[in-house]
Amino acid sequence: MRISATIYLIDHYANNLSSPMHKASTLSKLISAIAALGITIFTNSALALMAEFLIILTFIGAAKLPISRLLSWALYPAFFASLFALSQIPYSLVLPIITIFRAINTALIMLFLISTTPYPELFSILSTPSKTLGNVAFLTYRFFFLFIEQTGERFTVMKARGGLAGSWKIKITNLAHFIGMLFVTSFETSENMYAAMKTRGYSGSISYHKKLRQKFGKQDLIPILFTLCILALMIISTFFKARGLFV
Amino acid sequence: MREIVKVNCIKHRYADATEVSVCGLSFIIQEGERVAILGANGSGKTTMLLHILGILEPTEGEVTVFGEPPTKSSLHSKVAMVFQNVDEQIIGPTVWDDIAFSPLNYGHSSDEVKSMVDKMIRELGIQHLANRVPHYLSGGEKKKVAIAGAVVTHPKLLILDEALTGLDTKSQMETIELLNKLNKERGMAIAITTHEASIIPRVADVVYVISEGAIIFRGTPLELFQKPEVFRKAGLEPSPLIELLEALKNKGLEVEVSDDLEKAKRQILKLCKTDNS
Repeated sequence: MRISATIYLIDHYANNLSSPMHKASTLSKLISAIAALGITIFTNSALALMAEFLIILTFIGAAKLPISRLLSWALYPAFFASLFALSQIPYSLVLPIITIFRAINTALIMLFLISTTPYPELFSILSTPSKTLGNVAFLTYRFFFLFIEQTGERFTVMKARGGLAGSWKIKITNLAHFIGMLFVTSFETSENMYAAMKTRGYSGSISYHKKLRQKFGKQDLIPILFTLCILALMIISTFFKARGLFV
Repeated sequence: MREIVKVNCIKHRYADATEVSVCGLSFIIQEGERVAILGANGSGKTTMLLHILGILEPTEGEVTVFGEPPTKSSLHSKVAMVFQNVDEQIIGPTVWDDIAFSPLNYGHSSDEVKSMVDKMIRELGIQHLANRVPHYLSGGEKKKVAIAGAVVTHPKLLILDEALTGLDTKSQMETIELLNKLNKERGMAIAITTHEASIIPRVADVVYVISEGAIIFRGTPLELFQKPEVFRKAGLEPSPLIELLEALKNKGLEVEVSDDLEKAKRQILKLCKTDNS
């Protein structure tokens, strides 16, 4: 259950760690991440992207997040980008570097955002344009963790009872039964959750307390500083690149 | 005391055609009363509770809560429930948000919600959990959060479905203390289902025993423990202490069958002294 472990860890970092970046408001972090992503996508300087990579790592470290772990997750998209980069080597040496660093930086920015902002806070912003989307996000969060916990438990039971020990035909049959059982269980869980919500006054729409949406304040200096650093780097690189001093 | 719940021989047919009935004696909860519903698995305890909550409607029989049919939405804020699997009940992304769920749904203003939730958290002594994410809590902590989320709107009746099952002794004791405190300080009636006879004297003034879809006993915990045959009829085992006292009584010795350890000790010591002299 590697994926569920990764999701648990990201959720743990976002909820249980404390740093100035964690304390910043959700909106400032979201705007900062979108701005950083935009800059990363439109930059064509390999050196600037490499410098940006170091800036992101510095901020990740400052947010008390484990750099090596986040980097290992960011390498997944980099692997696929490198396949494309390899095909470009005969034509240019700079382009593959740009492709790979663009992929790593994009992934790192997203990981930085979700590791410092709890998912419900991030998705509570969705309730501004659409209440239904906000409701879905609010409910999905708990259901998702409940679901991966149940999946993990049932998978362990199946393995312990030799469900994956026989021939391929048996393994596939058992896996099919496992998925079928999961479907039934998740249906049952959602019904139970609905019954519980009904007893707690749910009547089709969830209200949010304003605690979920923080106001702007001095804690937002960190995401602003993050965006400014990347922006400054990109302006400098564009300036020097125009004079042929930067690759 | 006013009667707040009355169940008269109900029958429910589930979607898969399974029929569950709860007949026999009438089931009644009085205002401020602590009621335990004892029965083996599948005896009909949960079905009866779901009828009281208005989640299920009886195909036959009658259920009234505060003199009205339980499906009436005005009753929802008067009756709260803690489900067997509290994981399915805790919805909020943090403990604070989860406790705020009901007050927000009942239309309280943001300031009222804040004050209600903060007060509840203080009352239950779970300030340290307020900003925690529910799936990182222990079983006992989750149970407290579920109780906080259920009673934050000051219901008149709290129903708990096997709420003490699966908890370690310390968490079980803490939850019982918490329930008794809520009952004493708020006058809130409590109905708890269980198949563990040992907890009954600590959580109930009145006990109902359900066996195979029939309420076969109503009385105080002491009256129940004096009739161990009721346990066996319901497919449950009386505690070893009761079995011992019953065996002594069957031998013709003068003992009162009770689950009170101190009382049992005194009785046995008295018998030993009589034997020696």
